[in-house]
Amino acid sequence: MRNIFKSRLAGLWLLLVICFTTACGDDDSVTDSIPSGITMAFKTTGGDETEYIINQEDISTGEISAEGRGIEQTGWRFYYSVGKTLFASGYSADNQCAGYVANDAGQIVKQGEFIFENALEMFGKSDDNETFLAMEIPRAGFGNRRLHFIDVSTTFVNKIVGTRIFESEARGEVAWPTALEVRGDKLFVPFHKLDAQGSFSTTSPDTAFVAIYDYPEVGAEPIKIISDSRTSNIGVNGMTTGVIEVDNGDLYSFSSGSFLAGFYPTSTKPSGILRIPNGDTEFDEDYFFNITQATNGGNIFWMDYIGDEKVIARILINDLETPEPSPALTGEQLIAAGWYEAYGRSVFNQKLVIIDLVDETITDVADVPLHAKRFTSPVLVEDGKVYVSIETATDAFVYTVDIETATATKGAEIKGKTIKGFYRL
Amino acid sequence: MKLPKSLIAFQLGCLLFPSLIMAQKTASLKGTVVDAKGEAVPGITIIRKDKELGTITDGTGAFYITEVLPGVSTWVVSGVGYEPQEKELHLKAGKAFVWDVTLKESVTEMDEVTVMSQSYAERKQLGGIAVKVIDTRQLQNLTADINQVIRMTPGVVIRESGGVGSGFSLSLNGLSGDQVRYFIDGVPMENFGSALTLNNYPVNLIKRIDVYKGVVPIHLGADALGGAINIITGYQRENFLDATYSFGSFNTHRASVNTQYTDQEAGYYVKFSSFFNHSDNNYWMDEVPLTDELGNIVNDRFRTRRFHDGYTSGMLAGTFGIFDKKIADEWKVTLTYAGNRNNYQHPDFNIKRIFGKFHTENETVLASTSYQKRIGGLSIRAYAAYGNIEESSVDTSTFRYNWAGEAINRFDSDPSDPKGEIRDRRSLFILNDHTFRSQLHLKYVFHPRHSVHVSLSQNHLKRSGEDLVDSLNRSFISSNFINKTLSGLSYQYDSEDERIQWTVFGKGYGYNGKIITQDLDNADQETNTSLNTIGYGTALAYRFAEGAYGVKASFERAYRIPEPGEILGSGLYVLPNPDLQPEKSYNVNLGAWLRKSISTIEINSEINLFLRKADDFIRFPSAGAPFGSFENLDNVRSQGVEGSVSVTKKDHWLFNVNATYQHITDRTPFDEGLENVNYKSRLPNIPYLFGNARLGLSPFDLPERRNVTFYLSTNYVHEFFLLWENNGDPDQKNSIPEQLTLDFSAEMSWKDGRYNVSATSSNLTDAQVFDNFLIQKPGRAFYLKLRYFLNY
Repeated sequence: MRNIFKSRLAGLWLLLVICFTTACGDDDSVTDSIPSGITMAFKTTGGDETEYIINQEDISTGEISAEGRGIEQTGWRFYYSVGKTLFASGYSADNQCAGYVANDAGQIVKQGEFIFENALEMFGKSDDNETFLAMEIPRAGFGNRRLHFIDVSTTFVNKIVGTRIFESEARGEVAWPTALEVRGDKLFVPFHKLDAQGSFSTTSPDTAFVAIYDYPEVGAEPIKIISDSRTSNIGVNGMTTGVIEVDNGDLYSFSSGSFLAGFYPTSTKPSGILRIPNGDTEFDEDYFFNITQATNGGNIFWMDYIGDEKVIARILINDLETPEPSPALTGEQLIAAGWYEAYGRSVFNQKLVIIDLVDETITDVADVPLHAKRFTSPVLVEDGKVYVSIETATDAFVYTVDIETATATKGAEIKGKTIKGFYRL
Repeated sequence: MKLPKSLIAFQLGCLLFPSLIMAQKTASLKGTVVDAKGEAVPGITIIRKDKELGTITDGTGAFYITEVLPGVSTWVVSGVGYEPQEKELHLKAGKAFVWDVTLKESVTEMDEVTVMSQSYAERKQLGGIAVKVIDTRQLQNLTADINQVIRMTPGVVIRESGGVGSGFSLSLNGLSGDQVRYFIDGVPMENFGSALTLNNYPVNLIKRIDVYKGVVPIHLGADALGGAINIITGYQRENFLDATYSFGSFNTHRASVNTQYTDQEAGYYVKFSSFFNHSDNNYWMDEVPLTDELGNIVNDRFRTRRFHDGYTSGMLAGTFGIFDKKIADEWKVTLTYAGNRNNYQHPDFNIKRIFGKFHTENETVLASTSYQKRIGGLSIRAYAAYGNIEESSVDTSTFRYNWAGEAINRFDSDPSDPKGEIRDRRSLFILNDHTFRSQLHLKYVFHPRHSVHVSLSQNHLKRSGEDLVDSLNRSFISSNFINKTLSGLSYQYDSEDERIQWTVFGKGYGYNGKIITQDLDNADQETNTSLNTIGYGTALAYRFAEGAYGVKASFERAYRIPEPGEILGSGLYVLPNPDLQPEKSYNVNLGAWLRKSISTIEINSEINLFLRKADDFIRFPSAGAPFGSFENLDNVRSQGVEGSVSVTKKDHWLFNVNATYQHITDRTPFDEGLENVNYKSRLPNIPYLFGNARLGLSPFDLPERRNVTFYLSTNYVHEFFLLWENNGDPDQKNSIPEQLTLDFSAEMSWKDGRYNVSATSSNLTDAQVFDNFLIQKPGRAFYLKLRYFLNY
C-alpha cells in the first residue's frame, strides 16, 4: 500500500504544480492609459530583441522599460512618423505596416494596417503631412522600386508607382534610395549606386546623385538625375534623411562614403554636405561643407534637421581600416564585415554634434559619450530640445540635447538595447 | 582526417567480408502458448531468466526466438491473468527447440500481484536511461502518422503549421528542431529529405518507437543535444501482408502496403514496404486578412478554405535479407525510393503572404545495408547507407494571390517585375545532397554482469545547388562538404539480483567541412573548418525488492554539431560561419516508476524530473541588416516534470493520461554588453503546460475473434505567449490560445484482426486550434480506414 500512497503523493504534487501554474496565469493587468507623454519605439535586449511602442510622461529621469507595458511588435520594424501618426513597418517575413495614433482617451491604438510584398525600406512624407511615402526596394537584379502612397489619416494605400530611379545593365548597377524628400511639386531621391547582384557593394562611390521627380504625379522615370563629384553617394542605408529640407526651402544632403557606413569600395572623396537651393533642381556650386576637413569634423554618419538651419548629426571620429580583399574573404564577406561593424555594437566611435549649415560650423554636443547607433527614425524637436538614444558598450540612456547651447542632459536609463525614435502622437 | 576514412574502410570491411569474422552457430526456440481451453493466448512474454532475450506471443499465440546461445538456460512464460511458468531448456546449436506451453489462469484475485513478466518496452523503460517506448501494435488501426503517435508521449510537443505534410517542429523536454535526432532502425534520418519525415510514415509500417529523453545511448551514433527518436520497423521471421487504405475529409487518402515472404528453411526473406499520402488540406481558415490589389486589408476576418495546400508523398522500399547463416545472423539490403510534392498556401509562420503556385518537390533514393552477428559474448551490428536527395523549390509564377484565391498577373501592370511569390526574384532552386553514413557497433558481454559497447559512426554530406531561373542566386554553385564522426564507448553493469543496472559512457564528436563560396568575380573561395570534442554520461536504475517499483537517474554532457546550413550559410545574405561552435547541454533526468496488477487490472505509472542546461544555442541574429550569419548566442535552461498513468483491464478497457510542465528560461545574462532584460524569464512561443489522455473501451463480449473498440482521446496545451511574458501591455499581448481537442474513433475487427475497419472523427468539437501564432489547424474531420492483415 505504501507504493500506491507514494504514487498518489506524486500525482497530487503534479496536480498542485499544474494548479499553481494555471493560477499564475491570472494577471493583475495595468492598462496603458497615459493621456500624454512621449511615445517611443523601444527595442529590448535578449532573444529576438522584441520591439514595443511605449509611452512615458517623463523620460528625463528613472528608467524606460517595456515591462508590463507597450504595444508589442511581431518582428523588426522601421518607424516613421507623419504628423501625429506613427508607422511601424516590418521586414519581408512579417510583411505588414501599421499606423498608430492616440485615441480620445489618450491611448495609442492601431489605426490601420496594410500588407506589402517585399520590405519597405525607405520612407518620406508629403509637405502637408497627408501622405506617407514608403518604397519597396529589390535587393538584387533589375526591377522596379515601388513607391507606395499611403493616406496618413486611414493607413490606406492609394497607389503604387514603379520606378527604377537609375540603372545600368551594362555596368551592372542599380539604385538604392537614401531619402524620399518632397519639396513643393518635386520629389528628391538621393541614392547609392549598388552592384545589381545584391552584394550591396558601392560601385560608383565618388559622386553624389539625386533623382528628381514631379510630385505628386511621380512618373516611372525621374525628370532628371543630378550629380556632383565633390563628395560621395548621398546618405547611409537605414537612415531616411539623406536629404533634408530647412525652413527656407533649401535642401541639404550628407555624404559619408566610409566603410562603416556600408561603403565598399569606400569613397576617395571627403565626407560632406551639399545644398540644392530653394526653387532650384541643381546642386549649389558655391556650397560644399567639407566635414572631413572641418574643425570638429570627421565622417558624417547621420544627420537630421532641428530648425534654424541647424542639424543634429553623428560623426565617426575614425573609420575602420578597409580590409584588403584576400582569399579568405569573399567580396560579400568583406562588405558584410563593414555592415556588421556598422550595425553591431563593437565599434563605439560616433560623436554627437550640432552643425550650422549656413555658418558651416560643427559644435560637439557636450557631455555625450562616444557611442554606436544605427537605425534612427526622424527626430522629435520640442521647445529647442531634441531627444536622442545614446548606447555605449555597457549602457544605454536617453539624452536631452539643448540645441541653443549644444549641451546634453543625461536622462532616463534605457532598459533595453535602443530607442529607435521619439514621437508625440 | 585519416581516422574517419580508416573507420569507414573498417566498417565497410565488416559489411562486405563478414565471413572473415569467426562464426559460431546459435540455437533458436519456438512454440505456441495456449490457455486451459486450448485457445491461443497472444501477448504472453517468453523471456530468458537473465532478461537479455525474450519475445511476446503473436496473435496466434506463437513465438519464435533466435540467436540464442546454445546450452542450458532457464526460461519464464508469463502474462497478466496467468500463473507464470518456468522451465530449464537444453538448446542445441543450429537447431530450433520447440516448446509448447499451456497456461493456467491466475487464481489470485484482488491481491497485488507483482508483474514478473517484462516486455521489451518495460525492460527498456526500467533501465537507467530515460526512454519512452511506444508499442504501436495497438495503434495499427488508427488513421495516424508517426507524429500523431509520438505526440501522446509525455514531454513531447509537436507543432504543425497546417494539415497533412505541413511543416512541423518537435520539442522534447524543451529542446527542439535539430537538437532532437531521428532514426529509423538506428539509421540517422537527418538530411534524408522531406518525403521521409515522421509525418509521412503511417503507423502500419512500424512496430515500435523509442523516445530517448536527453540521454542517448551510444548505439544511436548521433549528436543529439536533447534526445533522440528511434523508429523500429521490426524484424519478424514471418510471412505477412498488411494493407491499409484510409480516406476522409479534405480529400485525404492514405494507403500502405507492407508485406514479407520468409523462407525459414533457406533462411532468407523478401520484404516490401510502401506508403502513399495525399491531402488537399483545403480546410477552413476562420480569420484571415483579405487584401486588395494594393495590399489594403478589406476584411480582416475573412473566412475561406485553403486553396493551395495539397500534399502528396509516396515511398517504395524493398528489402532482401538472409538469416541464420554462418556469415550473419541477419544481413539485409534495402533500396528506398521516396518523393513528394508540397504546395504551400503561405510561409510556415505567416498568413499575410499568400501563395497560389509556390511548391516544393523532393526525390530521395536511399540504399542501405545492415548486418548483425553474435559470436559468443560478442554482438556485432553495422550499417551503411547512401542517399541522393534532391529538393526543388519552385517559385516561378508571375501571379499574385490573395486569400479569396484571386490572382493578378504581375505582367499586366509591370512586365519587368522580377518577383516570385516568396522570393524577390523568380526562382527554381534545386538543392542536391549526397550523403553517406555508416556505423559499427560492438557489444561484448565478457561476464554475465559486465558488458562493454563500442560504437563508431560517420556521416558525410556533400551539398550543391543550382538555380535554373534566377541567375543571381549563387547558393552552393560549388559543392560544400561536411563530415561528422562519432565514436562511443560504454560499460554496463547488471547486479546479480537484477535490481541494479548501471551504465557509463563517453562519446567523441568530430566534424570537418569544406565551404566554398564565390566572390564577386565568381572565383571560388575555400574555407576549411574542423572541430573535436568529448561528451560523456551515465545512467543508473534501481528496482526495489518487490520488483514493482523503482527509480532511475541519468546524465549526459551532450553536443549538437551545427547543421550544414548553419555553417555554410545560404549563399548570399546568410553568410558562412566556419567558427560556429556546437551547441552543448548538461542533461539530467530523475525518474520513478510503479507497476502494479490488481486482479486483471494493470497499473503503470511514471514520474520524471528533467533538467537541460543548454549553452551556445545557434541562432540567426534578428533582422535589420542585410547580411548575417548563424552565431552561438543563447543559453537556455529547461527544467520540468512529466508524469503518466496508465490503467488497463485487458480486453475490456484502458485509460492513459500524461501531463508535462516545463519551465524554460533564458540564461543569457548579457546581450552585446548590455543587461539582458529577459534574463531568467520564460522563453516565449513554447508550450509549457500540456498533456493528453486516452480512453479505450471494448464494451461488447463478442463471439470469439471479433472485437469492437471505442477510443476517446484528448489533447491539451495551455495558452502561451508569442513574445516575452514580462514585456508589453498584458491586454494587448499576442498569444497562442489554449488548445483542447477531442478525437473519437471506433474500430471493429474480425477474424483475430485480419479484417479491420475504423472510423475517426478528429477535432470533434470543431475547435479553432493553433500550434503557431495565427496559423490555424484543421477543424472537425472524418476518416475511415480499412485494413487487411494476414499473418501466415
